[in-house]
This record gives sequence, C-alpha cells and structure tokens, in this order.
Amino acid sequence: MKLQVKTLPLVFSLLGGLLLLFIVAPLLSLILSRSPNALFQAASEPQVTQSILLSLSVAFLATLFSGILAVPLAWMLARSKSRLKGVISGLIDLPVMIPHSAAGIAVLGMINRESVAGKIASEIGISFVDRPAGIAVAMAFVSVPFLINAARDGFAAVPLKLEKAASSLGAGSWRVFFSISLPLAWRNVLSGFVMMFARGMSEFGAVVIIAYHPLTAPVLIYDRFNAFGLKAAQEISVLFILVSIVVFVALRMIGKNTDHVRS
Amino acid sequence: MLEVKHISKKVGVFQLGPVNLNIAGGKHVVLLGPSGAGKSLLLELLCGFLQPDNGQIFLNNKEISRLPPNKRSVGIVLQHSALFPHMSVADNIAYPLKYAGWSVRQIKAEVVALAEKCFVSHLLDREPASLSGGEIQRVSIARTLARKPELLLLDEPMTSLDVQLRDDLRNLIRQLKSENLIVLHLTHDPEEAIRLADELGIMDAGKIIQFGDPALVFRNPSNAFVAKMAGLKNYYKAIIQPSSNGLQTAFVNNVALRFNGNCSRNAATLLIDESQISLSLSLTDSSAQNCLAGQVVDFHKLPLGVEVSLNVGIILVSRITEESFQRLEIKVGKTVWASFKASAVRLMD
Repeated sequence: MKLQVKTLPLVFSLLGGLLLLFIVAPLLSLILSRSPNALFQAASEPQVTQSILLSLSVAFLATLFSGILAVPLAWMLARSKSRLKGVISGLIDLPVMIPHSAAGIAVLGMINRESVAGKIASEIGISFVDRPAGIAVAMAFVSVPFLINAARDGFAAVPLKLEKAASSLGAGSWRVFFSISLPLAWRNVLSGFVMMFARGMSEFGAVVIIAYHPLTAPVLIYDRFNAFGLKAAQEISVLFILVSIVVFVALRMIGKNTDHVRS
Repeated sequence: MLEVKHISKKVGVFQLGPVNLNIAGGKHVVLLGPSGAGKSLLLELLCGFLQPDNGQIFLNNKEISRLPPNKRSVGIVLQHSALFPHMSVADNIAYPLKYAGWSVRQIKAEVVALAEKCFVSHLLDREPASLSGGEIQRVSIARTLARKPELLLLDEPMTSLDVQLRDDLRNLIRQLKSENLIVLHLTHDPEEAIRLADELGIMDAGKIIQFGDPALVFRNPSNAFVAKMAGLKNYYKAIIQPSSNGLQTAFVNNVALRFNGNCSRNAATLLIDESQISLSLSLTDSSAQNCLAGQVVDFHKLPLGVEVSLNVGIILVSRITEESFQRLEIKVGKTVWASFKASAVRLMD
C-alpha cells in the first residue's frame, strides 16, 4: 500500500510534467530564439502593429456582439427542460469540431456577394469578403461555442431557489435575470468572454478563407512564412504570442477581482 | 383570508388534491405530513411557481390562481438559505423595496425597522455566507416581510436549526400572528406543529386528510397515519367481537382489549393513549377493564417522564413519570402490569 501511495503522485507528476514541457518548450524556444532588438525592430513595422491591432480589435468586437446573442441562449440552455436542449448543445459545439478551413468555406458560402445574406448586407452597405466584418464573422463562428458553454455552466450553477425567491419577492423575470442570475454567473460568463476573445484573435483557418486581407496577425505570420521562410515569421510570432499572454493574463486578473460576487 | 378551492395538480405519477383550505387573517395554520405528501407542490401552487390543473386560489377575495409569483402578495421562507450570496444582509432585506417606488431614505428606514423586529440589526453589513443557520432564517423572514405579504409561507424553516435556535425562531414567528398576516407553515415535525398551530392539517398522498384544532386532531386521529404523525405509538389493527353489554372486545394478536362504543365492522384500527396506561408491580383491584401483564422490553427517558415499552402479547407503550419509573424499579426484562380503562381504547375511522 505504502509503495502505491508514493509512486502514484510521482508517476503522474512525471507524465503531467512531460505534457507541460510539450506545451511550454516550443513557445519558450521560439521566444528565446529572437533577440530583443529584432523584436523591437519588428514591432516598429507598421504592417506588424496594424495586424496585431486588427486581430485584437476585431476579436474584441466579435466577442462583444456575439455576447448579446450568446448570453441569452446560454441562460435558455441552462434553464430549459426541453428535449431539444441536447441537440442544440451538440449544434453549438459543431464549429469547434469541424476543420476551421471548412468552417470558413461554409461561412463564406453564406455571406459571399452572390448569396442572399451577402446581397442583403451589401444593400445596407456591409461587405464581408476581405473586410474586417468578414474577419469578425469568421472569428465569431469558430469561437462562440466557448462563450456559450462557459456561460451556460455558470447559469446552471445558480441555484433555482434563488431565482424563485427573487420572483416571490416581487421581481419580474428581467429583474431576476439582471439582479440575480447574471451577477451570480458573471465569473463564468466573463471567463467565456476571455476564452472566446483569445480563441477568436488567434483564428487563422476560417479567417484566411473569408478575408486574406486586411491581414490579421495569424495570416501575416503565414504570409511571411510563405514568402520569406521560418526566420521572417518568427519575430511577429513572438510578438503576437507576447501580446496574447499579456491580454490573457490581464483579463484573467479582471475575472479574479470579480470572484467575490459568488461566495 | 386564503381560500383554496378544489385545486389539483398532477406531476408525473403524483396527484395532488383536490385540496380545499380556508385560513382567516391572523391565523397560523400548520400542514403536517411526511416527505412526499405533496406539501412542497401545494406551496409551489400557492406561490405561483406552478399553476393548478383545476381549482382556484383566492387571497383576500382576489383570485391569484394564474398570477405569476411577482404579482401575488405571497412571501415564502424556505428550509435552506435562499439569501442572495452577492448582496449584504441589508441589501437582501432591501431587495423587495427597490424598484417599488420607495426613496433611498425610506428603504433604509424600513430595513432598519425590519432588522430590529427580526433581531438582525447587528448583521446588516454582513455577507450571507458568514451567518449561522438561525441568523439566515431570521434575515429570510425580515426580507420576506419587506415584501408586505398578505400570505406568509414557511417551508420547514426550522429543519436545519438546533434546539435553542428553534425556540428563538418560534418566538419570532409567534410575534407575526398579531399582524393579521395569514401564515401557512409546512412541516414534518409534530412538535413544531403543536407549538405554533392555531389550526392543523394533516397531509398524506396529496390530500389534507384531517383538519382542525391541533389538540383535537392529535387526540382524535382519524386514522393510523394521523396517529403516527402525532407521535402516538399504540395503534393496532384489531378483530372486533361485538357483545351486547355495551363493552366491546377487540383482539390484537389474540390479546383481548375491552372498549366502549359500537362498531359494526369486523376489523378496525384501535388507539390507546400512552398517558392513560398505568403500570404496577401486581394486579390491583381497580375499575380498569384492561389489565395485562408483560415484560419491559425497552424504555426511553423523555424531557418529562419515561416512555416504557411492554410486551403483553402486543407491544404496548406507556408514558409514566420519572418518580414512578424509579419507584417501580423498571428495567428491561422485569414483569409489570399495565392497566387502562375501556375509555382509553379508541376506535379510529
């Protein structure tokens, strides 16, 4: 028995450590492969900064607008007793399962200039192909499941009796949602926003199909790699990874500061 | 006045009702029943979380059967905490007052007044997670009263509390009676029922099977289920042997029990009041029609007296004083006589 107790954590730590190394080693070796000077030089290139800013801003807007639709759907999924719930949950996970280039092809089929949706959009002055709006749609399509699933888990964890208590205290359903359900599920909802944003700004496969231009950071990395080789793609890769880490940590910190809302 | 008229609701295989209930303002009615009797379902119907399949509910002459919970003047205090964890105690109590047209100053004053009334003034700045079980229930009551309900539903509010806290909460609940508030209190604890109820209803299998003054209900249980809910122990299925001299004889496991009254049935349930069974060491010359010898099989000390179980062919439970228990030197295995009048044996419907 004693042997088991001692060896199990050891073996598991070794296995887990190997996996961590697998994740960290390529990133670390990439970051260390470039000198700070080379990075500063890359960062001063307008095309590089523009592509990073474009990735961040479009991912942010895509996450924000998706939230308006995703959060209500997440609440419905958490509270619904319908048999369709399982089917809808499966549908929501589909964009994560399918190859992202195929997702891009599917979305492009729906929003290209010849399609019904594309024509309606162009009537009101919106064009998707090779436009930031198209990038946002591609990012949203592949990353919104992260937001819906996290928010749904958050709403499901809010005890039903609290919503019932609020309604017996005179609150209508809107007030119950905004004063009880949303504040108590907020940590999960925010975590979903962070995951969606992070996944969206890193998206390459679907974005490159719908909008090669303007170049987002992942597309620029691919473009440089194709045109000039590995070394040329490394600086912008390192810069984008560093920016992603900073943004990710900052958003996680904001999430932690709101922890107290659910005691 | 709460009037529940013939309401019924089917959920899965469980059928609630039809239930009829009338409660006047200022009355505290307790519905006593085991888990699964349909108490919580009835409560959901009264709150508006569910709608009845049939029947109507009137609260002070206004029909509320189909109104949503927020449109009814019904407050509820649940068994376990339903305080909002992301709000302070003060904000919890203020919750029903916000958006109800009250000014900030009025809300503050009302919160202070309710907190004083429910003895939670010192807790107003605390978070619900830091409160004890008794404090949580007192804050819950304060918050529910802030809604100014005409009907207050208490769903086993004392289940998670220890003895001292139960006393405190009982006192608080008793104070509410003076306010013309209708209180409907659900519990499975007979002691809680007898201590608080103006009227008592016994619920089983989705129906209210007996209703009335608690002392009368407990003294005259209409069937074995009510007797069991009342904490009565001596109830038996008996074979009745009619006789002509006014006294009837019933047999339980071949033990003959004499009782008064007429019974046209061959079988019935009998109840013998524990407090009316005397114990003695020898057969005494008394007017008691039933004198049975048996061995003590068990005894339990109660807050007042001792409950002694005898095997006289059936298990008979007698409640005697501590003094008698000492004097008779009762111990397991000792043979004693149990005697009780024919009038102590009652036939249940």
